Amino acid sequence: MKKFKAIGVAILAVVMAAALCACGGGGNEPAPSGSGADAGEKSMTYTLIYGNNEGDEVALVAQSLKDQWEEAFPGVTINLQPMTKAERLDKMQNDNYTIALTRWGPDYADPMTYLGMWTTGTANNYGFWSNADYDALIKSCSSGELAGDYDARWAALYDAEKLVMDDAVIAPLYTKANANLIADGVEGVEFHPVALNRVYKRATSATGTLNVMFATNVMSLDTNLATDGDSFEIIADCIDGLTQMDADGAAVPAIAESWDISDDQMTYTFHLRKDATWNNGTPVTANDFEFAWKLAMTANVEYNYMFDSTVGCVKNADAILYDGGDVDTLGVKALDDYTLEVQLEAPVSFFPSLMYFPTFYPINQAFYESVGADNYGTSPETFLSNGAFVLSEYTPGTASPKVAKNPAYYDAASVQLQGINYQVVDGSDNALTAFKNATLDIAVVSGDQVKAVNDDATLSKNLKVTGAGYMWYVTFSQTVNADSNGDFANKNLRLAFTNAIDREFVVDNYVMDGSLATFTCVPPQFAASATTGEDFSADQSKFADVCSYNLEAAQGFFETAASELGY
Amino acid sequence: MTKYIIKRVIMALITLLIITFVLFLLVRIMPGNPFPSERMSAAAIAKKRAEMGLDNPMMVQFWNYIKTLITTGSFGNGSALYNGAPISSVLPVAMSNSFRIGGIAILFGVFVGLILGIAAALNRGHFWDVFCTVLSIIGVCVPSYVFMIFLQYFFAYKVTIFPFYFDSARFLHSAIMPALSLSLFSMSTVARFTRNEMVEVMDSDYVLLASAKGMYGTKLVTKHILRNALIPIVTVIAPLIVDLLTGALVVEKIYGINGIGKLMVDSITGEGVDYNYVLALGILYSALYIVIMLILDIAYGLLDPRIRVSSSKEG
Amino acid sequence: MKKKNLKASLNAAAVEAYIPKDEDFVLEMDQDITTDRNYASQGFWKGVFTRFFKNVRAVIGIVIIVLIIILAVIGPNISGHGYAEVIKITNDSGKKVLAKSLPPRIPGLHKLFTGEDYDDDFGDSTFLFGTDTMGRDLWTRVWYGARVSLLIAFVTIIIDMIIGMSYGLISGFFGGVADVIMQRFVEVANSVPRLVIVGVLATFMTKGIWLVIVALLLTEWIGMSKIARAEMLKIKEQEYIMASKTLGANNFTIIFKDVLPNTIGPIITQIMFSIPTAIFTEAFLSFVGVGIVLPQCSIGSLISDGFTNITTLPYQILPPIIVLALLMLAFNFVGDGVREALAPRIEDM
Repeated sequence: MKKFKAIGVAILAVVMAAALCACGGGGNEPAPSGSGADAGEKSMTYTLIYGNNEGDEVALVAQSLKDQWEEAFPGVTINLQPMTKAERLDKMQNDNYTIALTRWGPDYADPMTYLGMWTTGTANNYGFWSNADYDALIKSCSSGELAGDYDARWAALYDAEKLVMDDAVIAPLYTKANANLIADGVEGVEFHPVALNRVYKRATSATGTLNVMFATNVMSLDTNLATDGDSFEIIADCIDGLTQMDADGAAVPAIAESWDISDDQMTYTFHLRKDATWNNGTPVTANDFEFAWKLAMTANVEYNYMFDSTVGCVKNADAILYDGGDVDTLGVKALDDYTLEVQLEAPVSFFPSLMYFPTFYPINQAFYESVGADNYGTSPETFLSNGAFVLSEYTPGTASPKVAKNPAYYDAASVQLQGINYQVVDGSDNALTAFKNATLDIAVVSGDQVKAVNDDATLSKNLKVTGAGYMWYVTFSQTVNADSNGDFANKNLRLAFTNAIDREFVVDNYVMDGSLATFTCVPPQFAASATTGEDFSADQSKFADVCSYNLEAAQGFFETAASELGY
Repeated sequence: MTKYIIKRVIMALITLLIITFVLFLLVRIMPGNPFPSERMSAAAIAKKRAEMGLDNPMMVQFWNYIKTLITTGSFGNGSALYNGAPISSVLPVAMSNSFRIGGIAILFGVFVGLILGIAAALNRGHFWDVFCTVLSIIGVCVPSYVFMIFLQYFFAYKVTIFPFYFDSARFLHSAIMPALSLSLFSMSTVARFTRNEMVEVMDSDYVLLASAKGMYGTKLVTKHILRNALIPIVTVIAPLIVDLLTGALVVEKIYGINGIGKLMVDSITGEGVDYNYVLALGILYSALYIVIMLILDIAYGLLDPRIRVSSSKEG
Repeated sequence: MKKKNLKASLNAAAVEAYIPKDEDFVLEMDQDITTDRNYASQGFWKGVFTRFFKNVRAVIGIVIIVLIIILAVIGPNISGHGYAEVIKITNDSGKKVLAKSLPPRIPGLHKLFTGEDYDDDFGDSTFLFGTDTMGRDLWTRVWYGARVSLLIAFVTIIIDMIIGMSYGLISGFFGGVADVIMQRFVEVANSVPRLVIVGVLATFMTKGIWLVIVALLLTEWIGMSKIARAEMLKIKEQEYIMASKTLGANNFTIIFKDVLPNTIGPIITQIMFSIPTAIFTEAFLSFVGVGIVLPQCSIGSLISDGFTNITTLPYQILPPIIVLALLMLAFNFVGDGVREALAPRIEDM
């Protein structure tokens, strides 16, 4: 009986201790209360959401943004809220956030892949910004009167970019780079910031095979369903499209030996090579392309927007995708087994380079139907290859897919590698150890591991920084919603926040992998003019008056905003 | 006993049905989208939802799910994960990897844990006792993934004894390190519980009586002490078995094992929330748990005649 | 009484004629002679305390826990840096420099052994545990994190003791239909993956430490309830329970007064094991984004942060792991001490 009492006392003691602990500051955020001249009755407290499964540096960048903003603007409190990428996208698409840290990677080598995001009603226009001039400009550039005049279009795109930057719709942060470690004896791996990040067709290695790191699982080998870079990489190892990327990312012939462009630049006639076969022996024909493209139209998939009037402008794609048109009216036609005719609704300067994107790859109809849509691409037996490699080991979810050289490839003589063994690696630290152990020939490291590599005289020789393409940026919700009080509808507040970010500091101290601080809403390094070859965003100082690191200007904008908003 | 077991199996099936229903409801409240997309139009996503039957009333959806599950034994297709590949093409591989590695871990952990616990109890206050305490504290304080990195660093990098990443072609060879790191937690738990239970039993009157009657050594330990100490230990081991068999997320990720733990986290925190994967894995986990608990209850009866008597009276 | 009588008769033998005195007829039953003055007269609590503090390991445990609590309270304040403070300075050449990933340093000691100062921008700053990848003082963060983790530990103890133990004991005691229903409920509750539970919770609650506590409340009692039920099954058929029943004790008395004190051993063991599990659960929840919100931290989240650079910057993971291990060691020692003090073995008396 006394023992029971003792336990009762013990429980009481524990409860009191816990309560004490809680009061001692366990879970209580000592929120800096608004102080100084800026603080009114309302407090300027905003929530920044970011993904916690999108790379180690993201949480660091988010914390640094909080730190910099709170330091620059007394009275402002930023609460961080980590969540999965899925939840973040859900919140952003349903407008239930205030500030978000997000990213976008280019799907094709044209500024439009970014600028197209901020037109009214686009799903990626997370700020719900709307500008009629901008919409008209973009429409004209993608499928309107400017589409055919490549130089005038290029200039108009600059004007469009200026509209976005002047209004501070987004705050660009940095253009991601990959810090690759490449083993001695490995040559000829081509790195690209767009579409296909790594190409191995001309690669060689001392052992004849390559062990390559993947950061995530391969999600799908179905060209229509794949959405991530790692899946695209394996698909591109195994399947050739009409064109392929050369070392500089330009479109050069692959399955198409050559192509004719009509005078109005709206009809492309691809002449296919006759010696290309699938690895089950059937020849690759124009019908395979027609089938694949029409499948993409009907299958309700992520990337079929690349056919529509914002990108590829394939004839009738809009009507089929958005108005329930008949899929057979799509402007693609196999004139015979080896001739494919594509009709466009407007000239597209970069159309041949779209053809190396996996969505435009061929699928063999007979094979696809024999294995069934559900099972296509889920094992080496249910996957057909016409490219440099064949799939040799794969199940969905595997951490180590493998491809082997395809002896039936039309260009097999120039492929040096006997195979590539991929390995999904969790974390940069582990990748570094695996590389040092020679388990990996190509690894990608980030953060403190890059510093460790740079400090190591032998390892630093293996380091090669390449552009990863995508840009991290901050977007502000300009509406009143469940999470936001609508303060960011105020342009000056957005400008204040944009100008208070020391991007160089963030890149040097937290990202560390050679990423570029970015001050334009179209990042550098991926989009070159069709006529002059000039990089769209080579000049990073062109919007210095509205986007740079300038604390004084930022505080000026902030004071204006605070008085406008009544703080 | 047979009647009791039949009754329990029927009850287990009903429980499983309830669990499926609860999971079915909860998973639909979770934040995130079964069709994550940055490029598809709202209309296209709505069409996909309709294709998967997500617009039907909840009970209709549940009924359809159960009907498919029972008649075809299929968990359906995924939505977000592996872009809609049938779950039957993903789950068996993951299950076989996790079960085999978890199996090795549990065998090793329980075996070594029992021996350590017994040694500690018999040498109370001496070396083995201290060793057991320290080991069990290290085992619970240092997460298994830190052990995994440690083993990988020393036995695959510094000294190349084991493969650096999991290789299904050399299963046993590459299963040792993950199994060892996973077994440490169960080893510590079992060792500590065995030690404390044994100590308790050793102080009891009937052990005193047995030793007073001249019984000693192995016979006393196995027949009187261990048998009585085992009941609570079995209770501890059962959930450990389920946890180990259903995989350990981080260890699987580090070592590149395509297993259930990784699948579960990917299906919730991946690109989107994949309802069907969460459900399939939840049902799998529950079924395993219920089966092991059933075996446990029967094992109670075998270990302790007193419980057998009382449960047969009730059942 | 007998002794006294004997003495009296001996006296009577020695002295020829004994004249009885008044006090010979005082009723001796008034004196409490059935009490063992050597031991039991100390009172139950005093005995427990005496036995507890005689146990060297238990005392070491208490000392460690008190030290950690003291450090958790004052540690973050004595370093001069806040737990969320990103330490950066502008150096002589006008560049903003961050105190990122610095190994532990005490400038005085360094000078003593090497005879020179650190040749970087933080030459005269002291970082006992170094700094993290964000550029914050790890010493401050470890002790700040210890607060959160201590809170989690205490909450776990409460959940285990109140919910888990009662549930298991009741389920085991009543048996039959009640047990069947209660055990099915455990199966249902245990089957919902933790990630699903917190995901659903996060739609109703704001993220942070209270969400973690509710999540722990919902899941952490299950292990304890199993232990308690097994103990009950073992004990309830014993004779003294039968005796208690026969004497008319009600169920509540039997469960909580007769059985519970005898299950204290395994229950303390289970608590010791559920604390680190809870601390790591919290870290896992932080990792998936529903636990503690950055830049706050806990021991668990520091361990998982340190893990991302474990071979490159090993000093970042060591302090939180060592603090956790010390804390666990201390809890274990204290737990063993309490158990032995409450239920002393024959040879200890």
